[in-house]
Amino acid sequence: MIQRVLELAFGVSEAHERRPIRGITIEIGVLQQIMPAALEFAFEAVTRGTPAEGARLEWRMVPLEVRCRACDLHYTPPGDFWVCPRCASARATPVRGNELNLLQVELLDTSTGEDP
Amino acid sequence: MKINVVQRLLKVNDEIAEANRADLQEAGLVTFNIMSAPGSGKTTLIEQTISRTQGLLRIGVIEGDPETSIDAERIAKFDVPVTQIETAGGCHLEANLVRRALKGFDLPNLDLLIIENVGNLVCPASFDLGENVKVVMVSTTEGHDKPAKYPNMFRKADVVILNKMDLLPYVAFDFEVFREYIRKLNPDAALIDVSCVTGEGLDAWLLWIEERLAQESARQVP
Repeated sequence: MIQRVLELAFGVSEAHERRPIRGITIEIGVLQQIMPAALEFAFEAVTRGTPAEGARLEWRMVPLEVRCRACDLHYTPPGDFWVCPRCASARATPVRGNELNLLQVELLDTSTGEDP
Repeated sequence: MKINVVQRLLKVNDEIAEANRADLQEAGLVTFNIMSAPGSGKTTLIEQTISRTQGLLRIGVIEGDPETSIDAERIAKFDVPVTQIETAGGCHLEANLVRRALKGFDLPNLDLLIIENVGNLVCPASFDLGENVKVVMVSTTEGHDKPAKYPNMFRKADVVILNKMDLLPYVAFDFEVFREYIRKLNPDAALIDVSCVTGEGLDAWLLWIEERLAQESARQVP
């Protein structure tokens, strides 16, 4: 997953005069069950020795929101079992919480030559 | 300088999965993605499915494992087309690997393609391969709490197969607790309890396949 993030980030860097990557922001939905600590560890390991070494990894967790398939109510289940507070149906579709997105790449601003 | 991107990491996989899905549909076959922890009995279930439908159903199999072609060799004994994908340590199959494997099959001459995913109750749930049906297997020796621990996987299942029912008397597996977890996570999933060793429940599995194939062909545009 981190490699995928880096591939995309390097693509952005290539499109901008290959400016070095200083930061990457990703968005992870809670349903993806990804541990931030594992992410940080993997990021540090994979970026070592690359133009992205030393870059900051930021993540935003997206909370779970589901739509009840029986009555259309949007709600946030408190636990792993999704029970509609209005009609008690267990059938629901995630509306938010499945995200796995690269949001932003921060590149070195070479006009100042310094890290912002 | 900050560049806003908003790029889905799984975009490429999903696009290839959709291409797989379209090709498989055009060839007129139904595709199962069988997922489970290692050792639940996926390959044995496939063997039993093939041997009990020989002459009735034309089946092709794609096997996925980190190493070896042990599973593909087992299936090859049944004289059905089979391809082994070795992921070299990868813990799940992805759409691009399956797409490459599809090239080796005469798809229009198959009724059912069974993809046996890498043994893993976590990652495979996130990677669409282009299948029509997600089969999640678990066995009585793994404990009845697996659905609670791996809700994502069980929630996505079209059918849950509980294998090794012959060992139920010897393990602390509470069938009612298990069934309740499944009902709460995924009330629409079929639950079929089987033993690939004694044959118990396999008729129900074959009936489920038959019904599902009929459903899918009714859905597909002629």
